[in-house]
Amino acid sequence: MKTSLFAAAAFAALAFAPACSSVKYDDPDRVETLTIDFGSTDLQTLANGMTDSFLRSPALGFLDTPGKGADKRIMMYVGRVENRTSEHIDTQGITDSIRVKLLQSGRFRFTADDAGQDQLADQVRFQQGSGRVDPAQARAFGKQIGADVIMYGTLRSIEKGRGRSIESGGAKKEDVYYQFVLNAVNIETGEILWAEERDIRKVERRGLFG
Amino acid sequence: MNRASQKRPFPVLLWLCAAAALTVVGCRSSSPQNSYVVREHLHQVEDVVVDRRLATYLKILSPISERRQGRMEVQVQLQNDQYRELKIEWQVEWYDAAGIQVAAPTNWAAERLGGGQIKTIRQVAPTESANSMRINVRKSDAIEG
Repeated sequence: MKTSLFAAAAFAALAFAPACSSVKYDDPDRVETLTIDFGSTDLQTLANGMTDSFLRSPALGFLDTPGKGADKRIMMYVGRVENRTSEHIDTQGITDSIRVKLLQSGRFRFTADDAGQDQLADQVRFQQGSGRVDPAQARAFGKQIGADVIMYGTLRSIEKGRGRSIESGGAKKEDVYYQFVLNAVNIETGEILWAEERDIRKVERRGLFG
Repeated sequence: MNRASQKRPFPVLLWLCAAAALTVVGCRSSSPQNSYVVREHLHQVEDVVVDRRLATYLKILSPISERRQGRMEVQVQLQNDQYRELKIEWQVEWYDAAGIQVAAPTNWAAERLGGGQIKTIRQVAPTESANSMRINVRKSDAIEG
């Protein structure tokens, strides 16, 4: 009797299961809470929050410096975001996202970052030294626009956890708090023109059976 | 027919339903979304409600829009109009005067609203040409572990 019941249930499960197994494209903007670790939603949340704050800041409207020309928009350089968490997080992903959004807003101008500088140095050396480029059109060093403002920051985390116990009903709990601080500093004067903090808290509770 | 055989159909059906429910739960589709449009200088929202149940307990209150430093800024409040906690997600889209979307929609942001809680959302337009904002809300649709 029991054997037939289990067989029926197993058959039903097998009958429905194939309909659910699939590989599909999904919305990259969907909220993801697969694990407590730093994920795509955290990156997007931090980048969006910082971009919004940047665009709202009246201190980052225009900056006039000698030899800048008619376009007084701030020329920005994106520095590093120090990863002080215990996880391996590619913090450049956050700054890249912020830079793209700010650039698309049309309110800021950006100089190339370290990776970009390496690429364009290689290209200038090629144009100057390979003999393959028309000398009249070969680009030279020494004409880059100097940045007015540098953006840099820190990502920290505080982690806490409580193991399984009778008191917690066999459940395991983990809590992680991320603090992301970003600054924009006038390169010439050293004045901090803008600073913003964004926090994320994530809690994971694992039941007795995982 | 004895007693044992009379009881048989119900447990079998229960087993089948439980097994089916367990397997189907893993392949649900995305939650439907409700949209609310805030236009410049108009302190009211135009709504496009698909999920009527969500609309009954999630209210969009006090829309304010103003242009600051050439960009439209919008503030709206989301209120959970029930006692229970509500897990939602929201994103915003920006449109210009011609109705053309001026930037990609923002990423979905997760929000946890306690019973009766009001959450204020403040957004700034990504470009100066934007003059209306659409906020989309839906029940939590997270990719969970």
